[in-house]
Amino acid sequence: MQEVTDNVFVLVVLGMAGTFLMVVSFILIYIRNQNKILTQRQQFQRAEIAHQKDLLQAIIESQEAERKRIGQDLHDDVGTALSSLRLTIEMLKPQQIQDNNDKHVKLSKDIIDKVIKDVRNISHNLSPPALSYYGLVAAIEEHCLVINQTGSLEINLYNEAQHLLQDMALPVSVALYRVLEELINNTIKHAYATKSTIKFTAIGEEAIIIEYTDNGKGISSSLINKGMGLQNIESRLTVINAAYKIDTAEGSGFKMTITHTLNK
Amino acid sequence: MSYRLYTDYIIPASTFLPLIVGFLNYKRLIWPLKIIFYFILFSGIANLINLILIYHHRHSIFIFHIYTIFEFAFISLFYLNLFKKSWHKPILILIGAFSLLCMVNFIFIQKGLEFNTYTRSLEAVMIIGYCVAYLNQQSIADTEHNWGSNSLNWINAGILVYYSSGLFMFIASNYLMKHLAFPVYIFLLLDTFLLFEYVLFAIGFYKCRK
Repeated sequence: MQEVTDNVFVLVVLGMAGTFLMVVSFILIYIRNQNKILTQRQQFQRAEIAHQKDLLQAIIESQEAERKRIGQDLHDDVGTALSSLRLTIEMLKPQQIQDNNDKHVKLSKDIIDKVIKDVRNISHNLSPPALSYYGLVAAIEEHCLVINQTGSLEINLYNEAQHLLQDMALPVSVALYRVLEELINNTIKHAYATKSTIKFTAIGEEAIIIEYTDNGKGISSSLINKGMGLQNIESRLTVINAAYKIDTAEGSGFKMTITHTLNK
Repeated sequence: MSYRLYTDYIIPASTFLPLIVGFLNYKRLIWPLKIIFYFILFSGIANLINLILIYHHRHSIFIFHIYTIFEFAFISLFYLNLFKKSWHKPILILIGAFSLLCMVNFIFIQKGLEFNTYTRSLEAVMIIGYCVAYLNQQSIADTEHNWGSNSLNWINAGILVYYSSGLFMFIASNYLMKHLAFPVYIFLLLDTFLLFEYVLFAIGFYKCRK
């Protein structure tokens, strides 16, 4: 039988080195695959979030468009019809000086006046004309004036960012208006506050900070429920890429700080 | 000779690398990593005893027989903490059975006078099995985090590289010692793989910070 002349030392070294290279390669390929899966998963999640955001934006935009349409229809159709009805009743003349119908005519006119006023208020609340024509601050000022006149809450408005607000895009203005409207409603309904403040501050030319505070009863941070109101606020701020922070505690009022970076 | 500097000083000193990093991050180490920390400490002490015996020209091969029992126990306990509960009992049984096998091999078969090639090779194969099982488990369970951020992945990689690369050495140690004039170069290669393993262990301990 032929003698084996292989150098065992070389064979063992080759075996060890080969195994080492194979195992290291296997590990590196495994790591690469795992990282590839992770990257793909992260990309998918980002795409999913972006898609959800687009859907949310579409929902909010269609909601605003619908509100505007209903507001305009109320104002143009119902408001006009009520005004015509009032004029018709105005033309009714009593036959005699002490005609009982005069009282009914007066009562009818009072009711129609109230309905006209209510329809106008609903129409303005659905889609404030001031928002489209004069911007966010004008619309908020108008809303605050109405609230202040009721006497239920005193709202003070401070504007130190007019130069940024006047150029703000309409969708952003609408979103911020709705958020402030929601905050004011929450203060009136739940906070038992007497005063609230809205402050607009500019950070250079890039961003704007909106601070809303009230002197109400506040709420424990852990108890802030993600009710419809806060979810609505969160949705609208997410769509316009604004950040927010809530500071509140029982007996210490409520404060929300919104930061929005303007797109140039 | 320069290889003696490498095998007798540099490689034993490399034990300090993972030990120091492990010691500095000890409070953050989870229990499986603490097992590896104590394993490295045990390995360092065993290696020191081996070097002292060699220095005094004493027979030291029997140390490998005893060391193998504890090496397998440490590494098995490490993986026991990483696998599902259904694996715990089989692993504990395996530790017991392997320890018994090592003692039988030491007393009756290879008798402590030559390297424990049978048991060490078997041990290496079982440890490679643990490593592959862990990789399989992680490929399914952990797809949310970067591979490098998990300290256990580094430890597993170190163990896999050393025991798979050293398998040929474990198998052929006795043959090489008897039939080659200079078997020491084989040990140089194995020591380099050990150094590589310790570097990966040190990285694994460091990753505990995050």
